[in-house]
Amino acid sequence: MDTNLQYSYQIPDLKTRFQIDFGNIIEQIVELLTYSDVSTDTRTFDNEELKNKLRAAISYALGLLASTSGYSMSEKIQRDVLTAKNTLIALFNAIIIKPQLTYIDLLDIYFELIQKVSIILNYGTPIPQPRTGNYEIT
Amino acid sequence: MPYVAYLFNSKDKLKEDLIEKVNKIKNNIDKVKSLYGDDNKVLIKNSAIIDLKEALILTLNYLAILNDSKKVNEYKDKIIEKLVYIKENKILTIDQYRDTYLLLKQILIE
Repeated sequence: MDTNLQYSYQIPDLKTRFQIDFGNIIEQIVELLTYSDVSTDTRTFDNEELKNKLRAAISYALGLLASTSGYSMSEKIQRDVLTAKNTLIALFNAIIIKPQLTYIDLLDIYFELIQKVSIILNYGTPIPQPRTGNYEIT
Repeated sequence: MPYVAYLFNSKDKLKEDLIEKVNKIKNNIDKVKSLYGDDNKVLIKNSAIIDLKEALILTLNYLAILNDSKKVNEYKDKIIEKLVYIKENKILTIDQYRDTYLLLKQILIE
């Protein structure tokens, strides 16, 4: 397969998949933030369920970040992306430790998540890396 | 527009939608003024509060995507403070409602 074609297929596919998985969770969080009483309305909000959703969203973001390893980035961008990674991991751990998420927690986590994903999405361009080795079927 | 889509599209689309929301808030204020005049004790609730919350959440997205640390430092906590106040009180006076509108407008104009 032509390497350039391979990249033009893989990269958009990854982002589309991310957009769907991450997007579903983000919509649910926005709904909670806008329309329900987080931490008091047990009919619409379950703490453990929300914690799982947030951890899943962070995992998707980290997965996206891992996929940028072959991207061309300046040193500044590399630093920003590293900070994004560390913040996401810290958020992931904080969510595990916190027994009950409050409305403020959720707003803070939501903001950090969007901001860091925005950084990951907007920086870097993929470097096509053609395979040069010889492959032999035995 | 789905919120995640703003991450993939330009900030311009987000700003455009935010302007639309903020204009809706302004319409709500004008409606109250036309019904009650300059009475500052009029209370705002229900759908008008939801409009405001939607605008505030969208503004939070806007700040997150903007990549402008000065603006984030200046406004993020104010936006969160407003959302928490609304969550706890559920009702705002027209003065508080107008103050929040002015804050949103200021963020958009700067």
